[in-house]
Amino acid sequence: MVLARRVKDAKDYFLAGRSLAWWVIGLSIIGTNVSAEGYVGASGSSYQLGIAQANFEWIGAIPAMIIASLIFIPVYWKAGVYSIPEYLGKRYNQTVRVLAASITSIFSVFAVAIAMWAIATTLQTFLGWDTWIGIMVTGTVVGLYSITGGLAAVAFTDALQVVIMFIGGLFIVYLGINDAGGLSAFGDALTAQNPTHLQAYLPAEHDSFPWPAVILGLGFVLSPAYWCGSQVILQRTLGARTQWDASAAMMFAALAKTCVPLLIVFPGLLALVMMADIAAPDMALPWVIKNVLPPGLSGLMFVAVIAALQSTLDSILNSTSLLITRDIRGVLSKQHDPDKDLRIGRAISLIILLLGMAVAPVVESAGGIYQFIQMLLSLFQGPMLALLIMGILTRHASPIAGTIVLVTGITLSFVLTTFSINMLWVAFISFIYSMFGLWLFSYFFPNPLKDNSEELDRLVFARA
Amino acid sequence: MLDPYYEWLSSLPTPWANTITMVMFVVLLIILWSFPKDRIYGDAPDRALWRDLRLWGTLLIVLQLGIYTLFR
Repeated sequence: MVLARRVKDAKDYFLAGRSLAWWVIGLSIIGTNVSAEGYVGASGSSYQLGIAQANFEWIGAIPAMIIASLIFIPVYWKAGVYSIPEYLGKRYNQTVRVLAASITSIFSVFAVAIAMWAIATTLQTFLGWDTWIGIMVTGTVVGLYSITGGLAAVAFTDALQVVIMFIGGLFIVYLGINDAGGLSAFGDALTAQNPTHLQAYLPAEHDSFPWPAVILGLGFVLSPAYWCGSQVILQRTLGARTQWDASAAMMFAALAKTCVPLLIVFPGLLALVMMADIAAPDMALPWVIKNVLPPGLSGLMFVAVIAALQSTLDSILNSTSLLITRDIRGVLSKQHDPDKDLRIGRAISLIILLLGMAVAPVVESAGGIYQFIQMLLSLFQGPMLALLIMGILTRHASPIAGTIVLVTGITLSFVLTTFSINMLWVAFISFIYSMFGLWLFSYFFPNPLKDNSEELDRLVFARA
Repeated sequence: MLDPYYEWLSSLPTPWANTITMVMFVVLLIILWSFPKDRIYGDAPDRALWRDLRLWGTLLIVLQLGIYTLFR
């Protein structure tokens, strides 16, 4: 509420008045990232697949975070944009900006719904609440602080949640290994029935996570697309007080990210070692919290998990609201008045929240949470990443080529998905097509600003 | 059309994955240290050693090399 009083205009609401320090942003990045894709879903996947699930936090994050910190973030920050689609709009054209913002916004509604469902599942396990009650309570709490306080409220809340999350998570690790009789006994118990559960990579012929697809699809495409191009993640770096703070925040987040598997992968393994009696893998984490931690800590961890899951909601709400307010409405509306962005942004946050609440009950039929969200991401991450890489690293990529590749690349991803091709391969193939297509189409439709434009100099890395 | 590629990729031995990953991290380390100091510090308020993001990146990469050595 204190932070809400400081929100005077759209810059305060969407970018915290460009005042955030690196450590707040770094913790907030982890809070946002872990919430959506982590706690419940990743514990479930590690229960099934073992430590290979941690690749999403290691090879599937760290290299991309380092590159984002050193190359992408400085360019975005110096370009003075509010969002990644706004950067694409400056680098390519307004069509690309609106398309990118629209695709991200549609995805975000599903992401809100998935996060809501994850919270409702956890509340159901612990408190026995019906799913719809969990969704209503979550929507109300998150809506109150994120809609009023904007990015500053979201970032500081996330940072606090992550600290609690790590404290609780480390207690689970300590008590779990202690219960198993030490680290060595834990490893022996785990691998006795599941010999590949302590191998970072699964065999190349594995159905879900073949290692070549993990390295090429996740390491080279999905991860850089997420860490170098996700509005939800990068928005807080655009709210940094200096460019160094923005870059340092991503490095700091990467340090925390290295330890995240202790919080979200270890519980799945622990549930397996303790032979948890659970109906579905996604129940692994709630089971561990309930059965491993003593009552006081169990309550603290339960609060941490719920809070961490909520930090996804608040971040997505704020960033999607920004995209719709400035990158879609701001471009399409002929009578766009920037002074009204704050009021409109808050109203749109509320609408997205209500839409997410309406879609949340349907998520249950979509299978594992984590894989569902990754499948959605794989459709457009390849083309989006190609546009960002070619846009930032070269002067060659042209506006018309950008539009063509964005549309055809997503279409290709969708067609590949209908042939039941692994989502990681879909991402890789669509990325390769988009890089090649962007280069080729730019020869047929050259960039008019290629040779002499100060504006272009500010938008590419070599001159940034 | 893609079947021959899938078959070839599916036949690759699993230990290669860790080795390839570690080589990638070493390459990243080289790229990291090729960045000039001016670009690393940017608009930082001072040039204190702890603000050198190349050191942060090096710590990250060393941790990753350890992880992929451990979980082979």
